[in-house]
Amino acid sequence: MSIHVNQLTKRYGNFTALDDISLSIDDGELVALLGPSGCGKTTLLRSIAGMEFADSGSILLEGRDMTFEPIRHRQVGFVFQHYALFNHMSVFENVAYGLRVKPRAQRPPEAEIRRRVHELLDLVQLDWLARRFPPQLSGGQRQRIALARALAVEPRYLLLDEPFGALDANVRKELRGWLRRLHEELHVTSLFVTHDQEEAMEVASRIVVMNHGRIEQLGTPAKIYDTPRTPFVSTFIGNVNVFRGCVRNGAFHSGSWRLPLPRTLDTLHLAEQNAYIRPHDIEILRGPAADWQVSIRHVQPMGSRYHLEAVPVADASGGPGPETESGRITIELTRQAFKALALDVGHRVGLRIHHVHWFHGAATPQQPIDIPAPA
Amino acid sequence: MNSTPHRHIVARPQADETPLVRYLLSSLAMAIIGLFLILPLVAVLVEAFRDGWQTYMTAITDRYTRHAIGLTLFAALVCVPLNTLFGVAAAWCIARFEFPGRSLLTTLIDLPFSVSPVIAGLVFILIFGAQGWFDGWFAANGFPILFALPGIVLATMFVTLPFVARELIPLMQQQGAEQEEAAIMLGASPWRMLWTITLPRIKWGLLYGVILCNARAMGEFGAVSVVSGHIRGSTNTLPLHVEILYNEYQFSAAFAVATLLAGLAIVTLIAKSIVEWRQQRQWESASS
Amino acid sequence: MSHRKTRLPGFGLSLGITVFTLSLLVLIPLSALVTQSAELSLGGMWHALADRRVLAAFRVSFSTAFAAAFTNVLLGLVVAWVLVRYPLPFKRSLDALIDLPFALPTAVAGIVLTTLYAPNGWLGQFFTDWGIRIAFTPMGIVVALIFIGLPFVVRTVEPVLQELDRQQEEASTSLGASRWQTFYRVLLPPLVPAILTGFSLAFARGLGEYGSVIFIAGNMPMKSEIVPLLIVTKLEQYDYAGATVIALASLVVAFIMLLVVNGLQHWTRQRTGQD
Repeated sequence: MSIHVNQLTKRYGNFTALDDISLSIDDGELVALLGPSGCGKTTLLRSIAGMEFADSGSILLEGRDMTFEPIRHRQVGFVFQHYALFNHMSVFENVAYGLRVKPRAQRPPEAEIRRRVHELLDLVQLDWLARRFPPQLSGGQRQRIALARALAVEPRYLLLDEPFGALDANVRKELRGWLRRLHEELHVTSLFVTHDQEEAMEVASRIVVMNHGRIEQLGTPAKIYDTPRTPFVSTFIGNVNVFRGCVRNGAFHSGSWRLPLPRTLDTLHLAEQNAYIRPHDIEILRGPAADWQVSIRHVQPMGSRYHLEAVPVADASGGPGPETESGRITIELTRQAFKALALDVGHRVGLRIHHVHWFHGAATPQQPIDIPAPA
Repeated sequence: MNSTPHRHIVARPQADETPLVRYLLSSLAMAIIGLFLILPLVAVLVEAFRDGWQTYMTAITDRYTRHAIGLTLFAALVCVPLNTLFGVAAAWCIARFEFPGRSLLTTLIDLPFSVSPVIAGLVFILIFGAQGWFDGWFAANGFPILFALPGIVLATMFVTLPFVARELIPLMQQQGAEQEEAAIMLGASPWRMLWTITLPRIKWGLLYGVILCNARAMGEFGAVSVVSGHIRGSTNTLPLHVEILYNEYQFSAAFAVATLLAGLAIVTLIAKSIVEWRQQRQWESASS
Repeated sequence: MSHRKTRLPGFGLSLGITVFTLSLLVLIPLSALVTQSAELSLGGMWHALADRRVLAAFRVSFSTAFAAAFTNVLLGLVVAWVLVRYPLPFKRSLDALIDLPFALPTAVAGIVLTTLYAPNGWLGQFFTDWGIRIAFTPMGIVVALIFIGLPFVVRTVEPVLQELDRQQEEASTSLGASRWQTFYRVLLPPLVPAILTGFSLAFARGLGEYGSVIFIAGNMPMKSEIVPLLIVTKLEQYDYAGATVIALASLVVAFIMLLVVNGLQHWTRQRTGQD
């Protein structure tokens, strides 16, 4: 049950919601559409569902062109951001709705409808709520009922618009794992929209990162995190320190700071090049061995990990140290590393960089560089 | 939504008016309501029975009165369903779709409210009258529109056109399209969606609009007066019948017939309150 | 073509019904007003309007509608204030009763108000003692229009008053303002747009009102004859052109008034940041 989107474009007046989007999703995948609000992800989802007309391009479901096919023929299950449960119907009737509105010839008999609805309510573990009405349910319960309702018609595709957007943080976490397990059980091709990168990383088998109506990158969560293709992806997925500088004479220069690069890059010259360094790719060293020194300004324990904020300290020659976009450097340590180093606010420590990536202009793919540890 | 459960415990004597001011303002408000709203209602009843029960019964069972009742009911029976259909259609396209001219359309729907009822009658005279567009063609061919039933219905429809649409447009805009989209997604036909989702969700707002539309349709005076021709036993609606009796100095009879219309007003107010209350409850349960 | 928000069904059908009905019932009939007046030359139109009796009718209609709408603002504010803020016996019923002028057919309102305010009527007799005549004078028209317009002000002010944040009042009091200062400086400004809306609705309704006025007005040409009645009179004299021109003029004037009030409203909303 594959989905193919070919060169889909959609404009609202001057605003381009979808800009030449092409995308392939294989049978049984669980894919996240990730991006900031207004990036076009919901428009793309609604276009695939048939709720929205694109200006140009086509949508193929299982190889068949469905661009102009009415919604009913697409066999799509859709879960709305605010659930869109029918408030005037009981939970049972909500789930049964899709079966009851089938043409007479295809409509299952009443007993079969009952069986199916209870089966689905069991699946979402809410059979005990069958007689309640949606306004009497909690947000998490409504979300699961909305999912059961969408699944009742046995859709070939399941589309979810910000499925956890309106929920409390802890309910959200619980439902994420539940959705992933449900998908493993049912294996229906699923596509969900989210603006929460953590959610996308945790649930999806592949992520489509969107911005300004375009696809920035498409890949597995690990691939997107490790080798982002654009500066946008690099900053949107996970945290990153952006150092302003240039590359010359086999080193990256930022302010008065110099980061030696591997031998293979000796001949590379790049004026005005930002370097992207993840907080956990920075090691903290006690003593003079490091290339440069920082002063710790803030320590934030985050459970298993510690976030440190540091500012560069003037080096021996009086230079101001590296220039970052925020003026600060974020460093992430494991709990053990933090305890072993016995760090505190005001300490001066040395840093060593393990991994850098950068982008030559916006369009070209990134170049990840591992900095070898000195012998 | 119960954000401040302690609200009633907090004393704020200083942020309220002095008891004297409160008393004076309350009395003034009661006086306004009493003088302008309650007294007229009482006066209608008292004047109607001034000449006794017999006169009252004679007046409201009079042949012409019965005919006027029939005509008024008939006009409402035609206008209200048609305007309800119009209101639902207008609200559907305005609240659910984006198209050029949408705000113009919204303004036009409100237009009959800002036109004097007399002008609402006049325009139909200009179209169907002897010197009008059709130069009296309809009347000459045995299908008179003015000074006949069709004219009364047309004028009534004009003045009551906005009632249902005005109730439904903001209601449907506020409700949003998601539930209807969900129904279509689940495979419902458009017809099915209308009957199982849209109408159940708007029923109280719809009923509210219908009640107001009906009250105005039965009570309209100015527009109908211009097009009806006041032919007793033929084109006289209840409000026009009241006028004729009054102008003939049959005051008790006029007020007797007026009690019927005042009764309609009271029933309307009660029905309206019940619907408002139900609507409020539905809204509260939907947003809890 | 149209761009729709969604692919929900029924756009063509519902738009078709709406435009068809609106054209048949409102647009075409109102355009008859324009085409029929266009048959008159400009001089003819001017002649029809500059007539002393016509001008007097406009003066009566405007002054009475204005006086009534203004009175309604004061009365409506008091009623809305008390209904929202103070405990009252039978409050729900009283609140429902506010809409009586909307529900009561205007002819009934007309005859009962006339009976009440006639020189020997229930209320009129007291005024007669003071040498004041209400019914059959412009005062009577104002009384009828106050009755007709009262719900407009109450019903537009009520919801805004309900939504007002009482903490602002408390803040004002805690900063040392007197009750009157708090009302004038903190409570009144956010109510102004609603008051203006209520005023304009009551005023517009007053300009066009016919049924409740004709009984109480006395309908003396030059003194207590309103514009809608003059239109009817012209019609009864088969002076269609005259009636049409007056109708068109009153429509245009009413429309300009609405524009002005809307502009004023927009301006106050912007000034008080309520957009």
